[in-house]
Amino acid sequence: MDEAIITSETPRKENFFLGRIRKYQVLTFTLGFLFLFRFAGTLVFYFVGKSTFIEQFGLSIGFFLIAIPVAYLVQWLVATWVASKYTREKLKEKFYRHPLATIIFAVLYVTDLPYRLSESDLGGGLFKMINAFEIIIYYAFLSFLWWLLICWISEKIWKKQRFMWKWYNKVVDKIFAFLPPLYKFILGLMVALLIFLLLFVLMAGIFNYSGEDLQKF
Amino acid sequence: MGTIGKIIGYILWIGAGILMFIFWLMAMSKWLGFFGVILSFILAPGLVIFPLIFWIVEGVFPTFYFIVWGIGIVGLIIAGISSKND
Repeated sequence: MDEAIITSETPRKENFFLGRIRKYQVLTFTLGFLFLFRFAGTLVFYFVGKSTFIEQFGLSIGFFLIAIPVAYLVQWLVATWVASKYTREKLKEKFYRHPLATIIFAVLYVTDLPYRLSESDLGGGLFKMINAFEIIIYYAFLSFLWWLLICWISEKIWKKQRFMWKWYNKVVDKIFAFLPPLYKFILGLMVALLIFLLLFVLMAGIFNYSGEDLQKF
Repeated sequence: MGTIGKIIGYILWIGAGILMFIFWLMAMSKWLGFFGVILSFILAPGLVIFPLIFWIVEGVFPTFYFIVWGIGIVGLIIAGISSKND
């Protein structure tokens, strides 16, 4: 009689956070980068004695040490939760179904964004670029949530799709094809520039670099 | 994630390469004028021995060049690790 060895392998349940990090890597990377930039940047500015939002809002450093990680963790949880509700195809279909809402929200976003950026103190150089990037994606995410709400209300009122334009569907297809690689490139560029700057400052400090060689030109 | 890692790595690597080439181009143009600019494109492999020539001619060690070189290598390592993760 053959002996059968039966192994009972129950699939191990993956840790909630690890599972989400693995599934939404770009989202996690974006928020992780912005968190590190804000957290480390503010700490450095604080200890150097430069003005930060901690003094501007009359906050204590202890509050900052707790509030910033918590705020970014909550943002990550909300963003990944929203992302988990929609697959790429499902989202595309939603865009196809609501052309008017999409066009109105896109126009509002593009026209209002310069005012949002001008309202904020963005700093200068690379920091300006990263701060502007943060505002752009936060505002885009908020606009996306409002757009979802309008779409949901619209679906409740009109059961059938009322408008369908071929050119609009083509534009949506193009945006879905070009936006993800473009976003990754812009994010990668900013992280690369920051790494370049940090490594340069670090190495210049280690080797006591004075810029003597560049002065020869 | 691998894609972003590769983008970061290649930007660092290519950016460092461009900066090193500009350094080489400026030195050649200073030494030989317009002819040096043309020569810097033809003698691009001179990048390898260039720091030594710069050190001898100018009497200053080209620290900037080596710092940028180091950053380029870091970029190459990032790109390599990211490619393995794909």
